Amino acid sequence: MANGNVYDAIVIGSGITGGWAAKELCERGLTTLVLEKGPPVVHGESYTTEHKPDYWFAFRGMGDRQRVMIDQPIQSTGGSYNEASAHFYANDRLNPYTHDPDKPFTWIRGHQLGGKSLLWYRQCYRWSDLDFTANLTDGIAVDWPIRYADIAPWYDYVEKFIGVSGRAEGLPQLPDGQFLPPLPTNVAEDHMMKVLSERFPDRRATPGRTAVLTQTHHGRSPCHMCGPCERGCSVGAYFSSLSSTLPAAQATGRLSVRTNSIVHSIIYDPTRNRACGVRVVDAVTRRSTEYSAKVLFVCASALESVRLLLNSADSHFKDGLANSSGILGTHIMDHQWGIGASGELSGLPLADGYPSGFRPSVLIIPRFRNVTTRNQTFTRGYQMECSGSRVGWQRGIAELGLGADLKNRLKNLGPWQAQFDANGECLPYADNTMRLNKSVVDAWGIPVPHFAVTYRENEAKMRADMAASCAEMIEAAGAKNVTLTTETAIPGISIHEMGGARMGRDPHTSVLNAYNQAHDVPNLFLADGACMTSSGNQNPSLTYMALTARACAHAVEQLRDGRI
Amino acid sequence: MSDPESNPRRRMLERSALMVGGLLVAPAFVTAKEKQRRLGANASNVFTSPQKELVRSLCDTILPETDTAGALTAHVDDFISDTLELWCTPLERRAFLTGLDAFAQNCKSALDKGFTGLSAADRLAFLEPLDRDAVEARKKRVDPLPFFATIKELTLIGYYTSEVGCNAIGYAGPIGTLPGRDGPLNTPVWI
Repeated sequence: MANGNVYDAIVIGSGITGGWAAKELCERGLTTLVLEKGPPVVHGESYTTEHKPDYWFAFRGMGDRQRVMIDQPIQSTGGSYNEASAHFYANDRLNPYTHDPDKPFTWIRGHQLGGKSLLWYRQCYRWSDLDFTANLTDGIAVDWPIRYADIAPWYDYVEKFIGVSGRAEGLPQLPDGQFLPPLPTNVAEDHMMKVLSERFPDRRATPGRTAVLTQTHHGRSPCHMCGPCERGCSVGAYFSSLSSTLPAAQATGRLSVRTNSIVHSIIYDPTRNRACGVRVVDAVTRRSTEYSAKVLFVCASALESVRLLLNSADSHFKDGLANSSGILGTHIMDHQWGIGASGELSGLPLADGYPSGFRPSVLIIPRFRNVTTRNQTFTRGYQMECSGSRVGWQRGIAELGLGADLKNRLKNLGPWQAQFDANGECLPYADNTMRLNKSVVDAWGIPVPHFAVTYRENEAKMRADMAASCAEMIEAAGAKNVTLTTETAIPGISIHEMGGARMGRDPHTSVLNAYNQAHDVPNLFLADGACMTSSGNQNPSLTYMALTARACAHAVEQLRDGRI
Repeated sequence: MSDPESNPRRRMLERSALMVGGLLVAPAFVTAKEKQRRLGANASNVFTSPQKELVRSLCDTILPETDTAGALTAHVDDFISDTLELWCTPLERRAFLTGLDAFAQNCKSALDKGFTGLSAADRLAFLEPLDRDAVEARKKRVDPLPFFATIKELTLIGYYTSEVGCNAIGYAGPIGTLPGRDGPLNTPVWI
């Protein structure tokens, strides 16, 4: 066991990659301390809103709007934020940030044990060499220091542990994985898969590859289709740190977890060129403590990890720890979101009454632009989601009708609706940045980030094509009364924020090497979205997990060999 | 996704943006008298007695008792009062009350009789043109929405999110969580 405040490894953050780092480092023999800035969450017991009907909630699911406007005006724009999940989102008042006035930025955070792994949409997609070679091919930013062959075994490793339901398609741009049977689809989705594949042979709609179990897996139960996953899942049907990786780490007897522990900065020892520990502020008592370890894994979420390195500047690294390249805090990315189409599908079978199951996923249409030919006005591509659903009583608000007629009509679901959404790649730009704003501090006195991130010409051209594709595909699906959505794309709102400490081969132009290891400080690893050299268009969590597991294996090897 | 309930972002937007016309106004935040912060608990005192009677008549006409319980059994009038006090901004609350008084006045001018004194059939007949206007206003994204659009929305939300309303529709909260239904948790049905 660890002695006092000294451990073999410290992991900062307990979200989707912090959990993986804890599991891998513990299982590989290291005494490991996980530091989580938020409060503890007990798997199952803390999911107090799970399976609760609307009337159980004080505000019937609408949220305590007057409080939300003060405490969570930004967090409440997050994808799965609602009255039932508000407690798993950070407090904006205590955790402010700033941005250039003309460059709005949305930063969604989950400050609790398990982090945003409780809130994610559970979509799991591999990258291919189309993505890993993209920067090299286009002459943009720097080349990735890894290729698909480097990460493929780690995708296998992660998928086998977390359980990913999906269907193999044999597509080069979206490699197949270790899949459990796919989640069942509904008649509208079956219809769309059929007509879209006939009309667009290069656009293959497939059941979303989802970290939701369709059969018992490592002691976790299959999904019982109860409803909104963001409330927490006490049977562990969806993957989270709490359902899977932290228990695995715990089982080794080598894990220590300290919640309400805000890492203020990393302590650097210039004589040995090592990160030797961390300064922690207790979120409740505000007492300061130091912990030390042989190896540090920063898994605080992309932008928090970058912020921590920036705030760890000292006399040796004046512009931020491990930042001799000056790259730290640059090339911030997110996925473009907000382009979509919805419409009514007639002629599909309707059963009376409410359905009693809930499908916690969508269909996915993998990237089809700039895959085999490069004939578009923009570089890179986008992935689409589509789903079929039937609207409940809510449709009565906007429809004509009153009295007994209205009431009787709303006893049944409305017609099938099709929904299409597109998620586009964003290029890495040197001047899409975050820096520390030393004139604004959070509730614990730590300087906050200042963002200057905006989309450019390539993104605008891609958005126009995303909108055109949504329109032509929903028409091909046979939808009527189509509504097109083109929301302003505020960077950050996809909650796929990434970059800021990119991987690369050259220490002069990148922060991390091919193993998420800081070029400048060999026992310091950044394992989360901060490492990304380009953004791809796939939901990124699976790649973060695979990179983290791979980085841990490398770190332990180097530690054993006495090289760090 | 099998139901809009599955997309909480859309659900939240649907419920809040419709009502405030998409415009969030900073509230004058009053916590001095900390009442029970729970909609439908009749903790508020927003209406005068005639206003309360009128709101009850409107709710009862929009969602009357049929083979299932109606809006009044679900205390939708209390829900509306509490929502105006605990959830809406002062601006929205004033707009609602002004709209309510104007509605009462218009009814008297048109029919020479208060709305509450009308027969059920006459109430419906009086509301039908207002309902058409409300639907049109939503389509055109008029801001602020007409009074009747707001009270219809509040009545539907108040009813279908109440225990009475959830049971009436055979469905409570997230799909598949209605206690006591045969096997809803392990026999998913999507059509």
